[in-house]
Amino acid sequence: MGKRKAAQVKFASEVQERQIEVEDEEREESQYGNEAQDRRDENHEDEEEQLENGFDEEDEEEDDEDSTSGTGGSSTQRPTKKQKKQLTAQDIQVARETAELFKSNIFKLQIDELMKELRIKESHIHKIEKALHRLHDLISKIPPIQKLTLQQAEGHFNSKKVVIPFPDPKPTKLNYTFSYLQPEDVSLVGSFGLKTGISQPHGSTIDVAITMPRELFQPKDYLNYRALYKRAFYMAYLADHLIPLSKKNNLPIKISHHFLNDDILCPVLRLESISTDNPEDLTFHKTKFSINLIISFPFGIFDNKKLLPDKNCIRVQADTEELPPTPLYNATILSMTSFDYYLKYLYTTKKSTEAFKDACILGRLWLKQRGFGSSINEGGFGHFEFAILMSALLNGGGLNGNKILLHGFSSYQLFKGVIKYLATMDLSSGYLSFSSLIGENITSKYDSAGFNVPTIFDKNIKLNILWKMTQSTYQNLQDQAQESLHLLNDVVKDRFDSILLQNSNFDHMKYDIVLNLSIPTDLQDSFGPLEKISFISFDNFVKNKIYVILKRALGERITSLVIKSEKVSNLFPISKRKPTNSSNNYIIGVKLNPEECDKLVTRGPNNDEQELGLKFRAFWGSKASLRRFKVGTIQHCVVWTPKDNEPLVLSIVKFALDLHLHPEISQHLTTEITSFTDKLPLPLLPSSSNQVSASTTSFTSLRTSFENMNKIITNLNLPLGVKSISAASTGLRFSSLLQPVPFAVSNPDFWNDVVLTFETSTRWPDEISALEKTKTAFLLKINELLNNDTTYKSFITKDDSIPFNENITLLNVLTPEGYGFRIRVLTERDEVLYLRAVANSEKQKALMQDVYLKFNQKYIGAVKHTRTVTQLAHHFQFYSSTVRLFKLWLDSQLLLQHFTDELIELIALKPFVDPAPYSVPHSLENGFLQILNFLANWNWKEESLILDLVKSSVTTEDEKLNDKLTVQAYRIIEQNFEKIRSTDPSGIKTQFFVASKDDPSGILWSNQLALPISSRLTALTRAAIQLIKKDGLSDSTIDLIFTPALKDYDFAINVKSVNLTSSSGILPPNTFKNLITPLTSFPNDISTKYDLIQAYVDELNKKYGNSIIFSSKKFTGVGEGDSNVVAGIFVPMALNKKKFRVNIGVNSKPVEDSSGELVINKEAIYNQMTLLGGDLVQSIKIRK
Amino acid sequence: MGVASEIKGFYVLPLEFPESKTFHYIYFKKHETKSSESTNSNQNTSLFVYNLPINTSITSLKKFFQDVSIGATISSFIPSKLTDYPEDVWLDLTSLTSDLELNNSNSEESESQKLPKNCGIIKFIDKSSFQLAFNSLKKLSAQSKPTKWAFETIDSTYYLKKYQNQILNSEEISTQVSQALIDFDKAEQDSINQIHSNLVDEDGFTMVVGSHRKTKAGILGKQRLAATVELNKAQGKLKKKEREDFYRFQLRERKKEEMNQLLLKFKEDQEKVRLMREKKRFRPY
Repeated sequence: MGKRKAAQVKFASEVQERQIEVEDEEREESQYGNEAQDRRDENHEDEEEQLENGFDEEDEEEDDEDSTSGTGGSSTQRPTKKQKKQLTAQDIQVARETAELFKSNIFKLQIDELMKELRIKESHIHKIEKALHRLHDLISKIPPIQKLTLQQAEGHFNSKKVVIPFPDPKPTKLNYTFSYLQPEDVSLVGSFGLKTGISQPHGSTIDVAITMPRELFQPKDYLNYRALYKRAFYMAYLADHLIPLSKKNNLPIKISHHFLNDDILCPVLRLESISTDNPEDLTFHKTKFSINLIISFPFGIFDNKKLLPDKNCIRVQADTEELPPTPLYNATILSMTSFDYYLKYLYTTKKSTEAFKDACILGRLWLKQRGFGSSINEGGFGHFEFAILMSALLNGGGLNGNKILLHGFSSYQLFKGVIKYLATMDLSSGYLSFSSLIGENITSKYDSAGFNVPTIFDKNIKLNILWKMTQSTYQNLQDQAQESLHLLNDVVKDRFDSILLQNSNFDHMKYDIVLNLSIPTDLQDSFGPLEKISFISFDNFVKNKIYVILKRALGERITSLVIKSEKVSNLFPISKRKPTNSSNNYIIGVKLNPEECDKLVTRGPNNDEQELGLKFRAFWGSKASLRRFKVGTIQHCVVWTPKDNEPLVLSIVKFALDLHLHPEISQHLTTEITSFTDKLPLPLLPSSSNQVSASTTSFTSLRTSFENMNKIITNLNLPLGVKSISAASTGLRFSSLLQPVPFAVSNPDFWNDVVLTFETSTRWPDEISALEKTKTAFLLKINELLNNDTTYKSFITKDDSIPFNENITLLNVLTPEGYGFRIRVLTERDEVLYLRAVANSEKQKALMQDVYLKFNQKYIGAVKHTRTVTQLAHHFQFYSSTVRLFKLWLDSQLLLQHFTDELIELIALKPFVDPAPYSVPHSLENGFLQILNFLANWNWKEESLILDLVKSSVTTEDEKLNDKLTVQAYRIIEQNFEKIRSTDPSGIKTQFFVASKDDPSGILWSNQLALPISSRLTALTRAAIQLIKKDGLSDSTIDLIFTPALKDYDFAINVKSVNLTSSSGILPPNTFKNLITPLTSFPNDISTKYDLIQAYVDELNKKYGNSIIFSSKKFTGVGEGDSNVVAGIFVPMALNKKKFRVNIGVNSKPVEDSSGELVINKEAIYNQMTLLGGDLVQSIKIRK
Repeated sequence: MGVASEIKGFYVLPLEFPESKTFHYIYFKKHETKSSESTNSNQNTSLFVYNLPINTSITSLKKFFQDVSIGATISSFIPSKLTDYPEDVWLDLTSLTSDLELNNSNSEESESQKLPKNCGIIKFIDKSSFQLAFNSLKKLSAQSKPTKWAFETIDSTYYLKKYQNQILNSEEISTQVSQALIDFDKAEQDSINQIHSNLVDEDGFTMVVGSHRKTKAGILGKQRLAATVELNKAQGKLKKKEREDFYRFQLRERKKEEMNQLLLKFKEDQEKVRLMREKKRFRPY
């Protein structure tokens, strides 16, 4: 009786009691507080010492005085006196502290805001507390029952309403009885009890531990599920009585079963509020809270040593002498005894460490955004594990037990400390041991010799806190921690968003390859009694098995391998013993190692290592062979032949699973990884039969041809020597939509721009048209020499890429290899002249600036850009194919021609140089989706895109060696953006600000973009991402993403289809490769092979470009049936009525019944557009 | 009342196009040139037309006038240079980059540059011809009767030609280029002669001009330098070498400076975060 009362008091006045505790600990706390202060000062001193290294003692002392007296604001001689009139002493203190204790002021302020945002509403807390109190009263009203046999126990319940949730195997005959007595203790556990709960969109659950009384147990009950059976009865009895009691007492709830943390040994009762019309009912569904009633065991009821991870506690009959250990079972039993105890332990830490609570919340959010949680399927590392690890690290954690975290740390420091620990210490090969014994500060120690399972071992309870983790999930956690640590160390850019605010839990962007596997039912047969006791569930067993096989098969080819079951709700009614709809589907996520993943040979041990050789052969079976390598070694190895567009890793996965898991398992394996690769057109090349669409060899051939031409022209005998010829085209930087194919003149990218500069000369004319004429004279000379003396063919064309400059000519060169280059000449005079024109342009300055930008793009920017992108494309293997697919997608949406290629390439580089919160993509699918995702979430009105175009994000720390953007350079670019936005806040003129080292202005490539186009890109990417998130990736969703939405346009002109596929260098789809002959020569008149649709669109743009935005496919030859369409929308401005002026510039008609006003004459425009198209136009469809 | 037949001195003329039920409207009036050329013969012989249909050329105009007023002979047609150009205003880069007298382009060219989009000037051979055309057009306009427009049909060869025309004949271009360069040299020489005779700067000194400095603009440098990051970097390198931490006051000053900087940044950051909060940036879900 007395015990019960105690329990009630404790529960009912949880909050007050905690307050009493606070009072009790007041003295202690203040001591901690002092310590915290000391730590801060210590840190502070440290820094100051570093700063002022080399000054004499006296000064240093005085400085210290200054800094301490400064807080009181009493010092009068301080030079900042004037400043202080405006700013309080407190401000100074805060500013100073945050700069030291947090990464920067802004980080601290952001954390503060975030905390406010995450706080649970007071009203909700109030309501739920009321409900908890009432629930507690109800539980105390449940009458006891004693000594029921198994049959009696089962018969006690109406099996249609309540079933005892016995774990497998269900008991049949038992020599002990079941009872229900008043719980020893009912208390809040988990984050709500610790007050580290956060508000979550889908609500949270509150954990309430109900401790079974001691007298129900015998010391040996930890064996063979006995305690769990007793618990199951206890739970069913509780539920059975709660149903009528809750109804009677106006607490309408729905009770269901739920496996806590996916642990099938640990069913709990989940209570959800039901909304009713009765005002007297206490409902809390609006708070979105639900309550978990966790039946737990009294603390220390069993001998914990018997439940160590290496002990066996489930005795089964087996042939082997020694039974395997049952770590999962043991951990379940132990954790059931310690819910309340761990809360107390964490609570003590919280009391001693001011920022502990906030740091826990940060950790919790960090984990949540990355999809981690305490449940097995979410990786087994959640808020609880994070908090325990942090507590342990406050008591040591280093190799010699040195403290990793200090009590005086700020929330940011604590959080970063834990992330750093996770990133740098290996808890799988080594382990951390700590003691949760409250009151004794026992040092936590890291031991580098571990158990090869993720381990944080509590010496007090003998529990491995990480028991729900596997090698695979631990690896994943470590990866994430490493990425985040890298972000936390970034001093240039504010990384707050990607660390805490952005959700990065979408499989197809998280992993390079995502496979769906459905397990055939006959695999259940291999799940025998021994497997059952060590893995507990079939789920755990299969995951482990797949992991072991794939890890062995893929080895160095992958960096991360995650296997999880497809998410199904593990909530099930209390009339069921276990959930009925268990899923047999698994998701396998793989991150690739770009250097290893495509190697054709898997190397094994040397021939003379017999034992290893045997093992190797046993694993690979008939695939294994012996090979002699050039170096002279003879090695076991497996040689793979790549299949069309299928990544090698996928072939290996299929082979290994077929061999070791189930003979036909590869039939059950689905993935969309090839669907994206298949979208890229295959090049029409002789070697096409074994070529993949993502290959870059054709780009290399183009490059070679360019270099040959380079040599020839440089050696020509010209009046002025050639200084350089620089590449400036998409093909020469591995990013043209189509692979460069010789003689493929219909390819819109056939002509490769190159920029030629001569030796320095002062004799260039000082006027722009004469300058262009002089350049032409040089080009004519080269033209003559090339045509007469070499196998190259060349001719001169007019160029209108720079507005108003009508005298530019280009030299078009056709190389014997079959490629085309277009040479433009840059002199040192050009830029000067354009800038002079800008300075002189007076009223038309804006327009002239655009002209200058165009010049800069074509002559200077493109060269720099090509150089940078070429380098990066070499480094990021999947960049080339990703950017090409992205261009293809843009073209399928009729958007490509609105963007400069360079702008697209820069945007596509974003996930490669700055993938946060994801990681650098190593597959086409991953890269493409990350680009879409970035664009969908890019709020370009407020955010700039500043790219640090260096090879790797994790390069050497040596400042001098890397050429990363400095803080100063970054700041300058940011200021450029701020300046632009201050005059154009809603982005009417400039939408995308994309800057890099090459272009600090940020507008070079995005200057001429129109607002509707930018908005459309954002809208389309959003729609695509939403579709994928909602319906998942499948062939049909991918096709949908690549289908243009023509109904959004004001009109669409269907144009004649022209066969340009093979002359664009594309292998026509659905044909036999051997029947198609590759192109071998240029046509007599190249222009006959050009795409006439482009000329039509060009003409339309010239005539109506000021009132209509035209969209059409740039690559007519790509896709089904060479079809194209010209769609357009009217610029809203052009549709308004206007006063009669001769410079309106649009085709207009007089407004009827009004004098002097004109309005656009749409019908006449439609008519004339059709006439302009002639036989190219088939039909025009106008939106009503 | 329907469509007005006259707006602000312009006559409105509906035109009928093949395969179309609706009409195109052109607006015309007598072309009036500024006084300077008033004595010129083309006074009162031209028609200013606005909102011309696409691809209007002298041939299509000739055909049109044959239909509506036989005997009105066109001598020339100056279309706006902007009609088939994506920009709205024409910029003459030559005059913006150089003040050499390079006006070898004829007046028609410059007039064409000044005309707004879709406008044109039709010149008739004499006054009577003009009057004839003008009157018959006025009549048609007053009747508001749609008139047939002779549209030259276009087919795909039109576009093929466009592509072919991009390729320049190297002989033609080479004669053009050499002529242009000769002209330029001449203009330059004239300018240099002029400069050498009277170039006096602000302070009254006669400036000495190097042979390769060719124009006034070049010498006086009317150019603006784009500020770049590199420039700042270069300036950063020119750091002073003297010790800045020798005297106590220096230290104190530096400390003060640092503190102020810190506070300033803190205030800035507070402001920034306040703005972010207003934009609801801190929603993690």
